[in-house]
Amino acid sequence: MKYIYKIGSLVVIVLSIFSCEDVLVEDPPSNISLSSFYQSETDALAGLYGAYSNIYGFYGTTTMQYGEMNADDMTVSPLVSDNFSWDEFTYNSDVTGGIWSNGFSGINRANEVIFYTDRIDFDPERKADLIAEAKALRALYYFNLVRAMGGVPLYETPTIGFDAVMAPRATEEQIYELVIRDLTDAATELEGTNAAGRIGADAANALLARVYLYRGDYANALIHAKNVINTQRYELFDDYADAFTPENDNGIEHIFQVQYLTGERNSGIPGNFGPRAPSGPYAKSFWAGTVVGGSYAPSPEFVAENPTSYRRSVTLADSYEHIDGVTGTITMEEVYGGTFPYYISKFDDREAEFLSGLNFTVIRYADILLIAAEALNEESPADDDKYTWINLVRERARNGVETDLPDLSGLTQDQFRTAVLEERRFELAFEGQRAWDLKRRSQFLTRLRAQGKNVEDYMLLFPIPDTQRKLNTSLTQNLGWEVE
Amino acid sequence: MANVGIASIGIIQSTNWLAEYTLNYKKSFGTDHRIIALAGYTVQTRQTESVFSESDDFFTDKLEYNNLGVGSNPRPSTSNTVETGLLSYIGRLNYILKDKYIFTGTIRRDGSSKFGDDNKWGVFPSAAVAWRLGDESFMQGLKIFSDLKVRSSFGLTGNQNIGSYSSLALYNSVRTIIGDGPVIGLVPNKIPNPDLKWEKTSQFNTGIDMELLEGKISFSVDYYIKRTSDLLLNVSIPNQSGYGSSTQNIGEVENKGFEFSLGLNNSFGAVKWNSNFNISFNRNKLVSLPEGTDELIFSLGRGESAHGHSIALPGQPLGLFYGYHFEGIWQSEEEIIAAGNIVGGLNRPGLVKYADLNGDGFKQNDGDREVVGNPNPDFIYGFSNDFTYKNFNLSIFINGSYGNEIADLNRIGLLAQPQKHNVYQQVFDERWTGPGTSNTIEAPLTNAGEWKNFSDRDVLDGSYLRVKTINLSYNLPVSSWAVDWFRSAMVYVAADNLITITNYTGFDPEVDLYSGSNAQLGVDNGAYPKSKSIRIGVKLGF
Repeated sequence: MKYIYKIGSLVVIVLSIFSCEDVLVEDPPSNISLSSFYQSETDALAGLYGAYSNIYGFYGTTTMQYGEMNADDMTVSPLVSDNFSWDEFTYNSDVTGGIWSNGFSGINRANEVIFYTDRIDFDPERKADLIAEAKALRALYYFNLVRAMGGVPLYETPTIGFDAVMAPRATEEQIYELVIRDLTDAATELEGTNAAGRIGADAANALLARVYLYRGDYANALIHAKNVINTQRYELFDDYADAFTPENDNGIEHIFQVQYLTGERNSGIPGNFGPRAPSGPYAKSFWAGTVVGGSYAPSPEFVAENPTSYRRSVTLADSYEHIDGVTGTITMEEVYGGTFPYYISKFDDREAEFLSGLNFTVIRYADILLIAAEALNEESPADDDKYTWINLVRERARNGVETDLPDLSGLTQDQFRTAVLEERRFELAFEGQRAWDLKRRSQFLTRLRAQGKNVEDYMLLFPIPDTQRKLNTSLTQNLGWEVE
Repeated sequence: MANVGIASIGIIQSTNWLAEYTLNYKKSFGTDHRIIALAGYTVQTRQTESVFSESDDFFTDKLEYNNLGVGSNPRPSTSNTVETGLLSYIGRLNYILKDKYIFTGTIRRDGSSKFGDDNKWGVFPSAAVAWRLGDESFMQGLKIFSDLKVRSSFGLTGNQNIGSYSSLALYNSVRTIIGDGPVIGLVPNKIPNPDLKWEKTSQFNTGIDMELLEGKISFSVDYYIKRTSDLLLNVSIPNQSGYGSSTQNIGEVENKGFEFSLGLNNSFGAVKWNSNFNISFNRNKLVSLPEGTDELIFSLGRGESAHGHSIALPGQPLGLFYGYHFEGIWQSEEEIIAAGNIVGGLNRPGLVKYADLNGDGFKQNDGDREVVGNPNPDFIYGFSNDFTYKNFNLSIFINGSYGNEIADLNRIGLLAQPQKHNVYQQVFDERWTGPGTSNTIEAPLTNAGEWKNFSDRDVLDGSYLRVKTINLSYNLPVSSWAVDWFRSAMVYVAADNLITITNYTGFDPEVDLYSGSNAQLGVDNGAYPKSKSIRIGVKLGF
């Protein structure tokens, strides 16, 4: 009997040893792992949505820092100084850390979609579309990186091991080559329009027009701007103000917008412009009774040079209505004591403030018309289509007041060049285009120095983040940004 | 009205399963040889399941978190399950020769689910030898030592203190907006690292234990040297990979030191006094990092205080705090300009003046940071005393640490105003209100992010001496009562953490946010401090 017990317990032990080896096998119950992902079309779509989520790191307040606060028309409001370094060029060589990590995260996610979707078995047409869309997203992220920092490391495949994490910078040319190749693929492959917030062929064409404009390749900029115009799917809103209200999100003029939804993902843009009484939790804090917010203010030059028009009155306001139980109107004189008589009212969403659902426009039809006009002026200055396009924008802007912003005609090529840049300045004001327009037209340094800004030649390019250079010593720094 | 109240409930359920099988074997050969052998096998699994749910917009707070359905704006619920497994085979052999020479050999083979597929197993042998020198005939003549033992050991141990799935690439869900509303996207969370393996420590230890005067005095001293290689660290990797960090086996660390222990066991008349004092001196340093890596920087803190850093530099102790040097408060624009800065943003009268270490003005550059503190103590000590007089017993235990510094990251949030919440009284009392008014606390200006700067202002002396426990008890003379079912009765009063002597101004010098981390030491950030407590009790034995 004792013998049987011994044998029995031995059997139990041996069995449990053998059956227990599998406790070392990891099969995460609540996460999908690489081996179980990218099996179906819906998986590929989920991967693509993941890649889209990085878009928020480039637009909204980031656009304002790189494209506006860093240029001549926007300055830092005296009430809030968190954008001071952008305004005064005192940022350090880590200023680009945010777009660097967000950009490469998005690029890697897009690369995963491009790489793995190919091996999934589903409808070839939809598969090709999905891959093309991921390429367009990769291009958009690379475009944002290259225009800020020049050449950056080039990845066309996802990071699977540690071999490629120390890659050096590619050249600016190589990055633009990929951006143009990817966007061209998307413009060729995709349907014209896509779901709101997703890139279709029209958005790809519009972005290509912008990229070629930056490159000074006006012939191609014109081709792709006309590709968009010729679809006849887009037109200007009758009212300039309509382009910037949440009710008109994804409207007839918007070619590509980043999506916001109150409560789910709030836009900080409307709240960051106008000054206001404290709201929400701040209303009861020691801020009560003061006027806060409004990181961004229009520069005196912008206010002085923006010609009188309906468009100007939408863009700038000198007083605002209090909300949150405080009645009455407050003038900007009272708020800023005269230093800034205006605030940027273009994106007002006073009921929602920081909880706004206003989409952020990446590119809209007015921009395409102005790109077409500018490119045509370079390619065939005698072609009068350029007046048709720019005057469409001016006509809408003057809103029936004939004496404001009269139609342009009979300008020399150089005069038109100046006129279209000014038109972009006021039509696309505070939409993140200004710094890049000045840079591509070589006016950045002169304009900003005329404002007394201490901007050095090398600041035309942003630095490669110094923290990243410590992690990857093969990354070279842009000239002038080397630190001890 | 939006956001009228938020209620949430979270439940964590953990299931641990442990099975241990051991076989023991003892055998003596004659009078001189004894063998004790053990062979064993253990298996452990742990499964942790969590659920979290939250809702907004309540018309009443009466139901608290007990009925989330009353909130009109439910938030997305989350749930998670994590599993780990550990298998061990253990073997131990003791051989005792003539009761004076003791040899011990152990070997264990451990398998952990947390590592890469081909690296789950580690083998960890050790060997020890002890010599009861006091039992030798030539020592017994001396009549000094009632016991004397010399011992030495060498062994290898493993560490698997990382999260589950650290070697796998998993996909996390993110919410983004496409079309009319939110959609779920999946994003990879890290680069798979199938090479992830056990952290290994080799330890050499040697020591002497002695007892003198028939046990009235005992003394022991130990010297050890530990080398830990393949450290499990969550290190930053180039973000161009698409990822920010990765758990890797990296670097080599050395710890060495002495430990002394002195025990006294004496009587003064009717008072018996038992006392033990121990003190240990540990020195640690980072021996090496992989080629091409000069330093590793780790983030410290959580939430709004998550702006601290520590740095690992070869040849230096681990855990060194890394930040800016606080030099006071900018008093005037002239002072700012004279120091090579543009007035505005971070550098405004009334804001903090940090040292410009690299000579380009203060721009929060990495070059403006330096080592600002060391969390490693010079020594730590413990002192216990036990007095017995008749039926009274008094025991006191004191412990402490000397020479260590603490990064009190709570100060990042509580010494600055921009986050619009409570701050220290000191902020109000000492705030800058104009030139010459303060050189310690900045003015309550709207911010340029300057409050996030971790500096030596947040690093404090963490030395302390603490009366950990005091216990006074009285044993009632039960035996004289002649009640046979009543064995003992004791009344006592005890106090924990009653007295702490320290310069540390945080809540508790004995906190450590990252217990178990190799490189993040001495961090105080919202941890619950050890409470003072006084207990009065009766203990009865039947």
